[in-house]
Amino acid sequence: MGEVTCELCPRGCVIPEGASGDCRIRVNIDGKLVATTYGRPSSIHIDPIEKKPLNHFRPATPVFSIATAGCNLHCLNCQNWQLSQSGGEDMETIYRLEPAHVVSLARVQGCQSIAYTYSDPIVFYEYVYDTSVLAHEAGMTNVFVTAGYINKKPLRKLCKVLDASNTDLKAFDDGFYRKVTSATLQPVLDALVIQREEGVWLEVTNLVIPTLNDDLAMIRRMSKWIRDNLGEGTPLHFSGFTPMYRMRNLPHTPTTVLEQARNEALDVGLHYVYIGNVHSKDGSNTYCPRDGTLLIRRTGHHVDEYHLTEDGRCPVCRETIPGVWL
Amino acid sequence: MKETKHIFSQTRRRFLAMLGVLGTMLAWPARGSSKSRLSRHEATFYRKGRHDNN
Repeated sequence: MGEVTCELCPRGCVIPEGASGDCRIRVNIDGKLVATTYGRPSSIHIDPIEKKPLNHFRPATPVFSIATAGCNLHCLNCQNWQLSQSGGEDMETIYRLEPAHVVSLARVQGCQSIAYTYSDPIVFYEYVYDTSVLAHEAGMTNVFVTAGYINKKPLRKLCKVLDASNTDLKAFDDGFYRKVTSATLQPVLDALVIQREEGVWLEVTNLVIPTLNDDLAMIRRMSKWIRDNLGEGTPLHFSGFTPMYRMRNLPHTPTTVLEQARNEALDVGLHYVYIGNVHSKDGSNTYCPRDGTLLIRRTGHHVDEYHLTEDGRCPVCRETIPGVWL
Repeated sequence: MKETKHIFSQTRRRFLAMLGVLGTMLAWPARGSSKSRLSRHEATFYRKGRHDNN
C-alpha cells in the first residue's frame, strides 16, 4: 500500500505503512492515514476560562476541556508530557466520547464553551473540527489552546469553526524553537496572523524560562511584532516557568522578571499584558488603556470584580475594550 | 418420551453455554487489547506517497 505524507503540520511526516507520524497518533493503516485518537480523549476537565488563559473571552465562565494523547512538539519543559508525549495506546485512560457526546456532556455540565487543550489539539484535528461544528449548531463556542505549529490550509479551515484561541509564542527566536520545542518559529508567526485574519479572538502566551528566553531585548522585539502584526489590543500573557519533565535544572521564573517583561510589552504599546502562574498584585487585572480605570480584578483564575459595561466599554471614559464579553 | 426431552434440554444448555464462552472469548480482546481502544477514523490533509510539503 505504501507510505503517506501528512500535510497537517509543517513537519510533513512521510509515514510508512504501520508507522505513526512524529505526533505518535496519526498512523498509516493500510495506506490510509488514520487519526487514532478521534473520539478517544484521555483528559476531560471543567476549567475556568481564565486558566487557558483567556482574559477577554467570556470571563468567569466554565469551559469543558478535552485532550487526547499526542503532540507535534516535544518541549523539554512540557507540563503535560505524560499526555502529550504518548501514543494513544500508551494511555491508561481512554474515554469513548464521540463529538455529539462531547457537546451534550458539556451542556449537561453547564458549560457554554468547549476547549481543545492540554496536549496540542492540532494533532487531533478531525475530532476538534467535527466537535466544533456540532458545538456551533448547539449555540456553544470553541476555544483552541495551541502552540500554533500547523500548516496554513488546515488552519484556515479550522478557523471557520473556532471562536477563541490562546496560542503560545514560546520565544522570538528560531534557535530556541529548534532547541527546546523541536519546532520552528515562522509557522507559528504565520498561524498567529492567520487566526487574526480569520476573526478568531486571539490571546498570546509567552512562557518565560530563566536563561533561555528571558532576555528583555528579545521580549521587546516580540512585543513589537505582536503590536505590528496582531494589533495593540491583543492580550499577551507572560507565564512563569516551573521545572518539569526534561528541564528540571532551571529555577522557577522570578516574579520580578515577569514584571519586567510586562513593563517592556506595555512600554512598546501593547494595551493588555498579564502575568500568570505567579501571584502578582496587579499583573492579572485588566485596566482601561485610556484612563487606567480598573475594569476586571482577578486573583489567580478567579474574577473578583467586573466593571465593564454590557457592551464591553470602560464605565468611565467609554473606551471600547476588545474581547468577547458576557 | 420424558428421557428424550431431558436429552434435548441438556444439549440446548450445552449449546448455550458454549455460545456464552465463545462470546466471552470474542468480546474479551475488544476490551483488553490496546489496538481496539483506538479509533480508525480516516484523517484529513494527507496524500499517498512521498511529497515535499515545502
